[in-house]
Amino acid sequence: MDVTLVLQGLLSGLLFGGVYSLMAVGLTLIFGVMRVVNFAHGDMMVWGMYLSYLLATRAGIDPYLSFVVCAAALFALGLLVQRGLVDRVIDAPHEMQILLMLGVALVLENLALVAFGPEPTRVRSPLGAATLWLGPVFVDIARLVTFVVAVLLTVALSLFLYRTDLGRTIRAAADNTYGALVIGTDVRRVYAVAFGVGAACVGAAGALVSSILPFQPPTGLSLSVTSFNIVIIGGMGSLLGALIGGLLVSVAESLGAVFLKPSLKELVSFSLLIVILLFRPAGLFGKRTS
Amino acid sequence: MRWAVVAALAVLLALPAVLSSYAVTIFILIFFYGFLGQAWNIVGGYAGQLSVGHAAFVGVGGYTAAMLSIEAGLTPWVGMFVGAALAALLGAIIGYLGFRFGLRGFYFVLLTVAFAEICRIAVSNIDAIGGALGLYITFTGDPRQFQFRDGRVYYYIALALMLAATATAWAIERQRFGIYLAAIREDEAAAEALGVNALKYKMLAMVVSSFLTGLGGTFYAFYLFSLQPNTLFGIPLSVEIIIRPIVGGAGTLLGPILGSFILTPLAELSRLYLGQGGLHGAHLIAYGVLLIGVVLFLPEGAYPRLRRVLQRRSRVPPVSGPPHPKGCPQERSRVAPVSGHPRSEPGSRPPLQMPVLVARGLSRRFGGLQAVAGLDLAVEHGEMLGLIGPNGAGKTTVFNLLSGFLTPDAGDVSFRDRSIVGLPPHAICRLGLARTFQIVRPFPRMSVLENVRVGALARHPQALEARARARDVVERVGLGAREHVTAGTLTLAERKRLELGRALATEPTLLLLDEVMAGLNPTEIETIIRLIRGIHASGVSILLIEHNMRAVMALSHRIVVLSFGEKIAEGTPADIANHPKVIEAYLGDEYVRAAPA
Repeated sequence: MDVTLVLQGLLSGLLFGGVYSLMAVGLTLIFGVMRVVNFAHGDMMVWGMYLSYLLATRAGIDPYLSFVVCAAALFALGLLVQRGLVDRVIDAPHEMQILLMLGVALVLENLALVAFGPEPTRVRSPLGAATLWLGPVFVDIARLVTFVVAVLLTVALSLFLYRTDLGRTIRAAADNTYGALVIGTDVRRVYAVAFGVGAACVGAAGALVSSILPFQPPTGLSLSVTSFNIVIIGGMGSLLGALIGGLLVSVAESLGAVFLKPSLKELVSFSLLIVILLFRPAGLFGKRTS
Repeated sequence: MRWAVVAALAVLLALPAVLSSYAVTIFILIFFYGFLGQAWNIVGGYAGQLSVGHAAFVGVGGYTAAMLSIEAGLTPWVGMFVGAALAALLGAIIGYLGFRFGLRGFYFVLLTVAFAEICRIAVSNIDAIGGALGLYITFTGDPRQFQFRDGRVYYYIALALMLAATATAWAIERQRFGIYLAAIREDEAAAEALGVNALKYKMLAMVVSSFLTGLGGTFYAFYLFSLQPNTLFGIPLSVEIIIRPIVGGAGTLLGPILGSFILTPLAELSRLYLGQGGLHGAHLIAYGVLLIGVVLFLPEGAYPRLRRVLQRRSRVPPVSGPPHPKGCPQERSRVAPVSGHPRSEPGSRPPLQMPVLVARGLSRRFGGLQAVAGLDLAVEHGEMLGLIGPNGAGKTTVFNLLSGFLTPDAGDVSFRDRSIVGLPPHAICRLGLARTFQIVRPFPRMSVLENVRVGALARHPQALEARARARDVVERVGLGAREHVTAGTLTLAERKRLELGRALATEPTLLLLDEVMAGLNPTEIETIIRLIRGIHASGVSILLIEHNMRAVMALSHRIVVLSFGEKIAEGTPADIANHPKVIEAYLGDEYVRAAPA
């Protein structure tokens, strides 16, 4: 085994992990606040990708700028989905919420299919081809920028949740919905904002990877499943868990591709998931609940 | 109902004679997805364990039968059972890992998804079984190889599969197995407290469900003649399997079939009409919109709604199970007279000097809080022992330690001369130690009688006998007139009596009552005191947590006082009422009014 290859895998995985983290932060926020699992998470992300594709091809805006627009658009979509659909089943049994989100996922995925067709796409960015050699390994500039932006966004989101009034209100509602209601919180508004912010995370994440990862409508499903893995591994509802979990899963997949073969890379993250589920079901950073 | 079933069967049997071959195809899909939905329903619906990895069982079953047929020439008629057995083995592994480690809700969903995905990736990478390209079966038209030139044969096989799965579900539903599954779905901890071995029954449900689903894999393989890892093990197939029973009504017998009759033709027709003209995906958009619509407008599923509409039309009141015996009195006294001496004072039935329950040095810590510290406690045979203490003294923790819901950090509990530390709650219940919960935990969607029957099944495994016993108990706790009411709609006083009745139905030697009077008004308290006296008079020892001083002083032979996890006093009600430590810690001036003069 070539050491350089392993180092390269480690580095690429780590840098790509920023996007995984951002994606998982969005999912964990939605789950933490509403106890609703967003099965359409990956499909929302694919819409973020296609949006940045449209902005790049029609308006010539680089994805590393347009991610702000994509985040805003997905915020609106998340808000709509929450207000129009999720809000109505917030007290319904678990399986009904899952069914609803599966329905949303189907609609989003196939709208993308009708609109953009089944062929894999990728956005061209001037950053895409640039690399930087660090001794024996190279750094993909696109990945580096993606990593930095994704981590900055995650940090910004944490600051929003811990340092602003609205953020504190969101955390209060997540901790105890009833208590928040009693002290006069507009919980519906909190839910809508949380879902919007969660979706905005994948909007940004989608735009950021649109020049790295070739995508097509069915990509959403595997992105959803990866987000679920990360969130469980990191700990449901934990922002730090989502951040670290994202990096961990990405590195594990990247090394899996090096040591095994690329088509087996997901095997590593699923095995990791099963080990976590069995021995530490609350996740690496989750609170232990009996 | 019976005639409707016979008529429907006759129509389905005769139908292929008049249908076009395209219509036959649609019916085959309806039956096949109805079958898979029914198989999933056993674990996903009845037991409430949402598996979104059932495609893995289809895949394992299908691949096994296909490989056995291709490589060893084994007929799929045998191979299908080998495949189903392997699927059941996989189901047992997933179930054991998930249930053993207490994964519920979304965590279980993900465990099943993860296993299915691992299977998919593994199969795609094993070239010996076709790898990513999959397997193709050569068409020979040989019935011994599960191949038929006439599509109508597949029609009858798919119909038979659906009927077999439905018959299985029907048989399960009527027996202890099915009743226990429903109890586990409603409230697993409450079910455990009533003697239900949740792990065992969830495992059984998983194994039956995955076995049936595995059978379906063979049908899939030999109906389509091709097996691709991505379609056979993929999440989309798992989703197809679960949406029909959920749309039709999860945990109902006809829900999966109804769901398949609604969704399958719609999916096929929209594929036919919207899938044309290169508009890939349009029919799936319609499908997604349909799912969203069902959730918003039929949140409990189509079948329960349909049943309610039909019942309203025929003006028959909802009846679950066999009807009342004729001439059953509608007016019942709120509390039936109990045997023994309802007004007897505690001294009238003296406890024997023989402990039924002994706890020594019982300790339990939660983080920095020592909830229970070195507690010694003994309940004599026939005794009514009161356990009191200020809020947060650790009383409920003691109950949880005694009944197996928590394991002590140190100390021992022996019940009827054997140690019960480490035993699960259901085993302790079966030994004769039953408990109630401070915050009542009825199975909300079951009737009063069904709730109590779960308890009665601990001693009477036959569903009918358990029902008769449950009816006696319901009568005894004064809920006779309410026996068919859904537990979720009861008043608090009724719920408390239901909680008591359910525990009583397990025929305990020792009953642990956790604040059964909290929140009740004086009349209701009188009623429940009479009830407790009656239970005690019938020979049950009782350990009672209670804040109502008047009641606890009047009922108990002895009282143990806890404060900050430690026993600060023990003695007769009169001793306790005058104990300076107790007065200091807890009673204050309350005892002046509470103590018997």
